[in-house]
Amino acid sequence: MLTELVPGDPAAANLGQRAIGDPAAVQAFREHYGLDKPLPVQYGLYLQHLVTGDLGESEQSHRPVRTDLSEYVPATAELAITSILIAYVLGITLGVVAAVRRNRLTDQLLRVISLSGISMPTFWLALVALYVFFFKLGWVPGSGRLDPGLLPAAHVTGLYTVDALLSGQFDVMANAFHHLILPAFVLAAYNIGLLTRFTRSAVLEVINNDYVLAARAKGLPERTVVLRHVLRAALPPIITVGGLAFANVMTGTVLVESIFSWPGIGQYAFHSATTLDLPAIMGVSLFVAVVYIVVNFTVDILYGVVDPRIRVA
Amino acid sequence: MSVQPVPLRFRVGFRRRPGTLGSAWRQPLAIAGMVLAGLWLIVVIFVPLIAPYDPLAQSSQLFSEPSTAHLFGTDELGRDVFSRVLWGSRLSLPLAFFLVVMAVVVGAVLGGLAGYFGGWVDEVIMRSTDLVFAFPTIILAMAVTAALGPSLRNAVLAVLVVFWPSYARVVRGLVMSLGEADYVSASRLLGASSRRALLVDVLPNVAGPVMVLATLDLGNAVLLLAGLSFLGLGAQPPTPEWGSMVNTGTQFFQRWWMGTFPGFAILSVVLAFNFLGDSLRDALDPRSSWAVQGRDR
Amino acid sequence: MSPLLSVSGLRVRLPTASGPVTVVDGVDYEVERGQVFGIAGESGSGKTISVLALLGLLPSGAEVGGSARFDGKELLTLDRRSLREIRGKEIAMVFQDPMTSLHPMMTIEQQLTEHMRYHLGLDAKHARARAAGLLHEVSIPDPTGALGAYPHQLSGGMRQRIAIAIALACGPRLLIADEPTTALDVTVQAGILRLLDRLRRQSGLAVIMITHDLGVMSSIADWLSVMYAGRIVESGPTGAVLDRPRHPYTAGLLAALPHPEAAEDTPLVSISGAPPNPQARPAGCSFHPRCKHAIESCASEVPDLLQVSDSRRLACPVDPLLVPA
Repeated sequence: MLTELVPGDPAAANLGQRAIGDPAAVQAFREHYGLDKPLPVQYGLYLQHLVTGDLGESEQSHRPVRTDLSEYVPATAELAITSILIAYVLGITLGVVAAVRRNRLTDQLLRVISLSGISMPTFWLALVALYVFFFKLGWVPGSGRLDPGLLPAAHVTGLYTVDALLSGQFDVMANAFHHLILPAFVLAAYNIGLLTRFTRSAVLEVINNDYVLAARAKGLPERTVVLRHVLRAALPPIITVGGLAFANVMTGTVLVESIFSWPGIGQYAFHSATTLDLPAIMGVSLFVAVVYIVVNFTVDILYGVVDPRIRVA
Repeated sequence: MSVQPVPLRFRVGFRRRPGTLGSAWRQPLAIAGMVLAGLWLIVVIFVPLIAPYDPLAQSSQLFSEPSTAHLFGTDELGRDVFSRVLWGSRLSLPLAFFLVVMAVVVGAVLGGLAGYFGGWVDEVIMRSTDLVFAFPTIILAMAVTAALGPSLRNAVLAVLVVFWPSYARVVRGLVMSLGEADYVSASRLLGASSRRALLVDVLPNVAGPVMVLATLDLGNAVLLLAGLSFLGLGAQPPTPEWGSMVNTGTQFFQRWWMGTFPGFAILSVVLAFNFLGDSLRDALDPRSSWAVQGRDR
Repeated sequence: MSPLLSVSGLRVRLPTASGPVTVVDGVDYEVERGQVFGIAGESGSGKTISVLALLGLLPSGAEVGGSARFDGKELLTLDRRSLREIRGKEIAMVFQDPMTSLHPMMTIEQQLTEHMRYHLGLDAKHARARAAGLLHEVSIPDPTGALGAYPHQLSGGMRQRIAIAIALACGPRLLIADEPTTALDVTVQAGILRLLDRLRRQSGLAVIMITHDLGVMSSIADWLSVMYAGRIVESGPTGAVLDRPRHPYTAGLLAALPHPEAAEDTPLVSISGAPPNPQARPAGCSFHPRCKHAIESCASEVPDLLQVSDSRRLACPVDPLLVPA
């Protein structure tokens, strides 16, 4: 299994090994913050505040970090979710195609494309994409989540598209989508490459198994065999990559949100880092780490849903 | 003698002889990777002879578009972008190599120790890796660089912190599984000391996956360093680092040549490493080997 | 009455890293309705590939020649859609290891009903009822419970019974069983064989039984063909062939079987040498390097499978009346 490594972030190789939600890891994590604090007293206070949900105050905005976060998180959430959806749909499709047409021209082409995807600096892609699609072609708006002058719909989730849908304001929804498309695709590029490769190898692992031959021997059409038998068996590792994909998106948002003037925590993290706003940096890192743990936990559960062999009786 | 199209189904032949690297190099991908990497290597070595201008030399020709005089145009201080891109290779490539080598060394040593000795050594090292894995890479790298102060040196340190655990894990896992392996036991039965067993028996088997990971990490190192510099946490101006050049390019958005070319440089270098790494993995991993055999049925 | 399946001159070449290799080298046989037709042979003899060829399940790049007529239809040149109609519905297959031939992530019900619904157009409810009935037929104790189970939750014997149920789901006329008992405990094997026997007697199902185990062959097969290096070397009624083998290879196989009544220090007999690699088969009769009775022509002439009596075919020119030692 180790040789089937994911190109890109090596953390993927170990996702399965990590004890997600391992109390020891979380404990060590807390201690880490202690190391950063110069005074033991501050450390104690910080932890105390942490437990009550108080993350301190941002030196830049002079507001509680928690408030800052709650303002910026929905924007990134919307972007991240859209991006991951795009990546999964495109990535799995291309991966299956590449596996089924193994070693033919299509596969080689996809191999190059997916390698390119994981080789591109996201921030550069954002720049180029913005230049081409906004500046030169004018197909998409260049910044923000909505056109100036348009107000978001009533706040339910904080995701403009969803909120607009819920309140029936389809013009707002369409506009929000329009703004969402380019950043989401840019962020998805790396993951599309990743998922294509991962899906391809997972499918190839499975496609020689006897149960695939048996399915064909039953006279089922090839498409059913591939989708229902092959893909389902290949799904567990593809799902496991979800945690990694999420991490990639988070990395991407830090780099890219400022380019798109997207008011999310990526931009927040960026600004806190450059202004050395320590509480903010701490807060963001903490928040992202917690979300990351939750995502990995969810991925583990999903794995069990898909593969009945590892469900706890 | 031929038949109607048959569903694609291969009985993939079993293990190739391990280490058949010879065939890997014939693949177009590997060749492309080597050519690209080779070109960049030439640039790194000969840049003082190739670059037309001093990368730090400012001029009065601000923001000029690409032309025969300035292949990639000039930037906001009139510096030749082409030369800066070429000189940037002297930062990104050697640093990336250095980073990966250090990460492999540190990670392999720590992982080897953890796997070999177990107990509290293992615990401490594993908890540290857990810690690192708890964060998406850039957040952690950002936090470290911000805490230590933005500079190229600190960025390198941050990337190191983020990279070593993967190797530690890989090596630890392999050491632990190989420790039980028969041939190691046999070697020890024959009287070889523990250290010898480790070096001679375990190491060659560990090398394979580590090599694959390392080659791919070269690309990642370049990307992460560039990313940190892009955020202003790595190389500081006027150093011609590719990531920070793209950053400047973002500020002067309409002067597309300022950000595009450095980014292209990053892309081509990472692409080269990834092509190579991919071909390497194909050669070492028997399961993606091509051999189809009419099996005994 | 014409045979259900009539195979003649079947040849299969597979692509390999070092060029195409002839794995099946001219095979002829007939299977009658309701008959259990045994194909015996070791690994490398090409027995599995020869039946995969019938269903068009060979790897891409495989070349097939000859003829295989099933119920009047020529299988080897059939178009893809018609072939799909036959697979699972007219001709069904049971594989060696039910742990790998059943999909680990699909329930038994799903695996039983999916092709039923595809071939027979049944809706979910009817398919489910029929599936439960099938499980009952193959003596699964709790059919409804088993339907909701996953393969890893069941025992090996049960899994193979389910595989048989899956194969029979659409009422095929020919069942191909490729080493159906090899992956099972000896105690379970007998049960499976009895099941197969009962089922075929009830429904007139014809069975092609592939196994290297002559004991299994003798207990269930009506007719036995022995394959070696891609060709059939001897064929006839099972009892007759096993009692009085006429091909040196068959005789060797039988002699190699340990006898329970033999004296303790009786040496184990084996055929010297090993079956040839498909890529490097000897010229002439493929068995001649290992054959005690080989004559000069054996090294250059490939013996044809000839009818030597009205119920025996033999591919060997040497003195046919050999008796096991």
